[in-house]
Amino acid sequence: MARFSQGKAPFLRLSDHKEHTTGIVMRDFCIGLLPVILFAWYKNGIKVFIEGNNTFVEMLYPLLFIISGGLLSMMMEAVFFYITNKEERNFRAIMTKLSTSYALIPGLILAMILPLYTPYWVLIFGAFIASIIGKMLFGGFGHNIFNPALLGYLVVGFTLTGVINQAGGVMNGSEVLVDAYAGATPLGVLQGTKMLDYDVLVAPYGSLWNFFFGTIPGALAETGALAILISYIWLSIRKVIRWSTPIIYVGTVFALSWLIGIINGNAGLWFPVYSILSGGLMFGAVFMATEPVTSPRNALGMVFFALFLGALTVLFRFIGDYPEGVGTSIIVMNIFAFPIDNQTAIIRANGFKKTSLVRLGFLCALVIALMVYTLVKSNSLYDVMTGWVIRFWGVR
Amino acid sequence: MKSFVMKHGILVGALLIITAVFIFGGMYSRYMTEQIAVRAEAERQRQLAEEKRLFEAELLAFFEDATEIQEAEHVGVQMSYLKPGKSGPAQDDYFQPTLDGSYLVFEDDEAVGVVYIISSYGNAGGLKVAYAIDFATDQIIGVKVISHNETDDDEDFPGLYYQRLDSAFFDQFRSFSFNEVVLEVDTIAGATYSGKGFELAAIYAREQYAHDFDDFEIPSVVVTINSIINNLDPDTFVTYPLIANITIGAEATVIDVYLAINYTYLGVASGDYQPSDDEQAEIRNLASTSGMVSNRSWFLSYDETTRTVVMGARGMYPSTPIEVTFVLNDTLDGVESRSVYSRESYYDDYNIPPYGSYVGGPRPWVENTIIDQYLAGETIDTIAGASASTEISMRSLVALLDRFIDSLNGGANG
Repeated sequence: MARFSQGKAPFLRLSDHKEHTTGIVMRDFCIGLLPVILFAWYKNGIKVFIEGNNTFVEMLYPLLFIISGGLLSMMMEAVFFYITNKEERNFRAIMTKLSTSYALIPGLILAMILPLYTPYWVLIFGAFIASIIGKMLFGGFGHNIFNPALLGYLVVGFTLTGVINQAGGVMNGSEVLVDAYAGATPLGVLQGTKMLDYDVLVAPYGSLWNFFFGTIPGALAETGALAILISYIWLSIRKVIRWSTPIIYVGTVFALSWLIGIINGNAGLWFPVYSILSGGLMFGAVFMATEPVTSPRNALGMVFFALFLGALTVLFRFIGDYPEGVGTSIIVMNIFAFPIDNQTAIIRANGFKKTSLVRLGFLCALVIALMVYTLVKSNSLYDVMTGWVIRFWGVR
Repeated sequence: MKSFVMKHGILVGALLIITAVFIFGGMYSRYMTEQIAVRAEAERQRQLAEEKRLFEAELLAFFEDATEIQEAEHVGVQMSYLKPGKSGPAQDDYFQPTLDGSYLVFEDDEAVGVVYIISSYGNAGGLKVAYAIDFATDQIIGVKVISHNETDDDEDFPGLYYQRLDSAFFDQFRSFSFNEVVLEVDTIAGATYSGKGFELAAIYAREQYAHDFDDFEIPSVVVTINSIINNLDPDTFVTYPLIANITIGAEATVIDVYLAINYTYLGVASGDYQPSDDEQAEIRNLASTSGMVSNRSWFLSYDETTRTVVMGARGMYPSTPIEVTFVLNDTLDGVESRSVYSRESYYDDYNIPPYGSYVGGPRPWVENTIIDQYLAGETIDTIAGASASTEISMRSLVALLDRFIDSLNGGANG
């Protein structure tokens, strides 16, 4: 294998290192989530409380909601383990299984990407979909095809959005008082207006700094770009995630959005910055696209995986019925994680040979085609190209 | 028991936890959702209170140096007014303004003014206006339009254009005195009815003000015309043709005032009283209907050296008066000669047989005949076909001449 051929024996698996067991990775991952959880609590609870727009009981809600998500996941997996294995129903055996299967994570992440006013029964339903359908029925940790939390999120999002909005939606006690928000998240505004206008997309929410710090309407934890960045650095240093994936993913979205801006004649850097700071992109890039089970395992595969994600995210943002494209694109790419992993592994193993170049060329062509299609579907290139065609034929 | 817990405890525990989360979490999220409405209501109340505070501050600002404003509980008086452009007596032609609120304004615990909020007449839902009234001057010193619905022209009431009311219109309410007898708001062309809405509100405000505060009484004009005579003084009779003796004012002062031939007030002739604008209008109004003096003839000039008096009389049309020049004799008790300049039309075709009844000669036959009969001391005949204008005017003229000659000779009229 090319990778091993460059190194020297003995080859040790990182996960066999005593400081890098599953338990330690789990611990590091949870520490990584901490800034984002605290931010979610601060933004939707503490800050609102300080501003005098909620009660103390309401102030605790975001934190308890997120913790409940994790707890629910664990309990559901416990029940699952209990039902599926009659031999090992004792407390200790099941607790061991829970810790090795990262049982806490799906519900925890699911709760973080749901709107503040999601009713608890929706969270329970989502946690069930995430843990049981998305994870355990596939065979448990390490065997699931889809990111469990995302699956739960998408099922809830596609079926119960009305219920969530009825209960209050994304805007916290302070945000509902801001008339300029007009009841929508920044991406909601983009979807509604399809206008790349700073005054429409950014100005109502203050400045792009607010996007960076996360004080804009959005799901519980997804808006806190700064907190996510801190998590990203921590997780990268601890090697819990591959540092390059989020960079490539976010970079692709940045580049495509910039191109869309340029094509629209609005070449300001604000639009790509807006694009990467709004919605769940940062959160998805750091905590979901990097999930080891549902993404390619080799480095080249990750690059293509992230490139596809970026293109699809922008595409879904412009063509979908929903403002956000991160969740859908990650779920879609989860399906292709294996073929990408497979093909890129062959390329890496074969080195620069004719067969591998064909595969590489095919993957590149796919990515480029998807990106061009995205630009076309962004409604702007289509018009520009029509202009070119008209000019080419001399029709005025 | 212990074995059951060891065997199934995890299931029971997990299910209990899930159930607990379901129940308590459900209550929690329901509470969260309910709080949205609670806060929205609180926010609405806060905004209302804030709006009220701003509104009251705005009203308070009308009064210089005022320190406090308090809601008052004045009971609205019942008044009914004709709607603008209507003449009655149909009930629909009237409307009743209402008092929608009132505030007392204080300056260091001393009430210095009152603000009335009045629903007045206006298109589609009416006009709601706040008038700030100063106790010291009994004047409206500020106006605030609270609502109006005049956004478009109305077929039935052309000119309902609230929008045309400009700052000049509203400026008149900076010192709009209640001490005028007739309250009139100067309207803007094309916004007459809108202006009338403000006027009716002001009239109603004064009624309310008089009702609420005993110190103030609505002024009214008290004028009685005692007599009106022609001015026979050659020095002034051209400028001041009529002199009226009137009783005027709350203290019944008797004064003489000069009037024009159309009874317009010209000034005080004698007496110590200065009539207000409203009283002047009332004087003219009363004088024109008194019938105490004929205004069909007047003096144009008198030359003492040539003993020539020129007089005018109303012709068939006001724009074509008859002019008669008399030269008096040496002793000033008779007429030496007379000449008439007339543009009367009694000799026109339509007025002589077979179409009309005039049988005299061409003009100035009528004028000459009447003057000559007067000079000869004869009874003045009625002249068919010219009685309506020329004859009446000439009778008035010779009567006035008679009195003038009398006055020159120290007569009673002199």
